[in-house]
Amino acid sequence: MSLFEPDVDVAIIGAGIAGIGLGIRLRRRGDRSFVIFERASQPGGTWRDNTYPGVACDVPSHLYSYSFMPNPGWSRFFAPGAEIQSYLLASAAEEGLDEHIRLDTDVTGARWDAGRDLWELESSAGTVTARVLVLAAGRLSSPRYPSVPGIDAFPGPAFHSARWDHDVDLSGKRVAIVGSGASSIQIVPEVARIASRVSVLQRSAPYVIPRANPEYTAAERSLLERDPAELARLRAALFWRAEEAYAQRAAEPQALDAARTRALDHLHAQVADTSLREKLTPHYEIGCKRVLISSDYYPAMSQPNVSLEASALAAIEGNTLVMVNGTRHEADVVIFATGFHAAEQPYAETIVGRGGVTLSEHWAHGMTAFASTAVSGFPNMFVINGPNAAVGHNSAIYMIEAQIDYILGALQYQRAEGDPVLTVTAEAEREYVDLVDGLSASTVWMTGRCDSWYLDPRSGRLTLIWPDFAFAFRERNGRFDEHAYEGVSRKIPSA
Amino acid sequence: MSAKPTLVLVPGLSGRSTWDFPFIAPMLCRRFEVTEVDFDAAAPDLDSLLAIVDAAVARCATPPVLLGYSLGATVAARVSRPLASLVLVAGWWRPSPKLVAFANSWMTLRAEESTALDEVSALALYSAEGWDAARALPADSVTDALVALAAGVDVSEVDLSATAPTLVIGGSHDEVATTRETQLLFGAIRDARYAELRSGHAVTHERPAELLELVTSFAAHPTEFPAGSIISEQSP
Ligand SMILES: Cc1cc2nc3c(=O)[nH]c(=O)nc-3n(C[C@H](O)[C@H](O)[C@H](O)COP(=O)(O)OP(=O)(O)OC[C@H]3O[C@@H](n4cnc5c(N)ncnc54)[C@H](O)[C@@H]3O)c2cc1C
Repeated sequence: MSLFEPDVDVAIIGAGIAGIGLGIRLRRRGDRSFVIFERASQPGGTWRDNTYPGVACDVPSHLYSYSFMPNPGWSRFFAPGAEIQSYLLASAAEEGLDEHIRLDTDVTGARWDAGRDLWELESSAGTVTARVLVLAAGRLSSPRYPSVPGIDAFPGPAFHSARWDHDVDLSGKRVAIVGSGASSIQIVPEVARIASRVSVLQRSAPYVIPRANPEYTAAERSLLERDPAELARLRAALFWRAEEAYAQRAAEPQALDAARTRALDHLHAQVADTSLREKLTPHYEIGCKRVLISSDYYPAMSQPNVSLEASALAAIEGNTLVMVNGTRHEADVVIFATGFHAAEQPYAETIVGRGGVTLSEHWAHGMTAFASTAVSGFPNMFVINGPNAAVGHNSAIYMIEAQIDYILGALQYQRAEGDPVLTVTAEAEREYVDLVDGLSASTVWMTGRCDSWYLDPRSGRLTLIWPDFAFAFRERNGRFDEHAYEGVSRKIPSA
Repeated sequence: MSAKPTLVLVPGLSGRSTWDFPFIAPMLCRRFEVTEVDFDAAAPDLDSLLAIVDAAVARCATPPVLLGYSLGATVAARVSRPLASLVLVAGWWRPSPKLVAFANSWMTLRAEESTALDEVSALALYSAEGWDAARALPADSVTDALVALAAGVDVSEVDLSATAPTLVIGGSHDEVATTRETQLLFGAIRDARYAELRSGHAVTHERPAELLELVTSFAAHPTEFPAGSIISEQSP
């Protein structure tokens, strides 16, 4: 028993895949004293926010789902976003999470109270204290807009891909789509079907590889339902096949050559016009930015009502988008497919650890954590999908599950040891950062001559991606080990 | 900088490490000083193959991890120099009747210069699940000699009592070495553990990343699983 009983044992910020996944695992072990704060009015995170036409995952669905919530019913190899969102809502409801999720509750700050050994969270619904804080606030959850003059004065509808305005009818309109990344290539073919004109504004061309997206037949779905072992085998096969692509990220020359050839062959096969093809040819090494998969992006780009401007947006003047290269594009609607604040997470400014230090101060040169999960100076706090926890070649959920395992291990340890406060040592964090830097040095993210959001602009360090196989992440970081933690200070001296 | 640990790769029926280990060789190079052994057509009897592997092991600065695949596993099992550990992939204890039949068909189709050779060898070496990874085994004098030799290679006559910590890896759908004969290596080697991958004989092509995971984690902690353990498949 503690002198200061917190309101809840575990407070989780964010009800996306990470928060829901952790909640399910907590409940399954019998824990009831946890709360998941979600600022939106529905759980789901990414898959609630991204409702743009064409939205879908680009990791096979039987892999892009919880290992502990297999879903024999996926309609396609890459399920549409709405289906993923339904899956997440159903998973949360089935596992009894609804009573733990506080919707419409924006956590505006959290402060470690060293006197009482607990976290004090401020939210739009008041103050809550918790013994353990888990940041599951996402990595791609805060839309980023280009900072160009005139952006707020555009007279027509203008919105971000992750804040799609379904009330705006795009048919017959002149639509400018800013950006040519993972969201854009899903949006462009859909908008090109209905808009009178589409201008795609591209800072740098992506590599695109073919995407076959077969439907699962009724027989296949029924088999997976009847034989769970078959579903597990399918998932394993998809996982290990995806892992093979890491050889490209490790910049293995033959793997790079094969991947680059595959992408450029796809471009040649789908785009006949040589000047368009030139503009669509990337000028960096494949894999340095996310490799995109699509079989309808290039055909859409070749349509007469679609034009590609290979330049960055410089300003917006009334209805006109002015590019760095001086060209001007008139539009009725602007769609910003310009990504997210990834390197600097907005939540970091509001989390205050030991000695009044904010997480953003601790991360002034880029995000760091031990085991990608625990941050020195921030006792009893864990972060999911934060520093070096993303992969470009495999499923984010696999990584998230490894981090959930780590956190559950830590909670288990605390329970067994009388709830000691766990603060990872600065040394352990530094050693881990050195390890990550060593691993990343020769990868294509560092050597591929591109300007990607995986690197922190302040330090040039690779802070978002885990620079090794996904299996290596789980092996290294999927199990809690108390040796990295400061000499345990107990709440109640065990006299 | 501390020197990397050493690792020696011994190929199978192709006789070529670049052919047999296109994925794991470069990936292992990130952590190990890797020697890739090649066999050539000059007198490939078992003794000369063993001499090549033995020399490669002797050249390593420290006792290496020795990994043999297919025929290479039956050679690696005979090496008597000190090793850090031994990995035997899709090897066999005794040649199974199916292995002998495979070798006979290979030789017949080669003699006839049959256009069916590539498909027949792929049918034998790859599982249905790994069919998209299937490639035709190079048909030349090296392979001819090694395939003929393989049909007679019997490990049951070798003294396997003094080996380093060993990991035996079988393919659940291996109809050439046969899963059973691979498992018998696990039965016969005292300090062995066993892992099985969903694959035909061509496991280095069908499940290369999973194989890499098994090899690297075993090499890092060879005795994490005690002798006699069956290492269960990961469920990602
Ligand atoms: C369009 C798109 C497609 C993608 N496709 C793939 C794919 O195919 N494969 C893949 O592996 N990954 C994909 N990703 C990455 C994806 O973000 C992750 O796979 C995963 O959804 C992340 O889940 P999460 O729970 O960590 O974060 P999120 O889904 O971002 O959830 C975080 C939640 O925290 C809430 N939150 C944040 N701050 C606060 C606060 N202060 N108070 C209260 N609540 C807060 C947010 O509202 C949100 O609901 C995609 C991302 C996008 C944007």
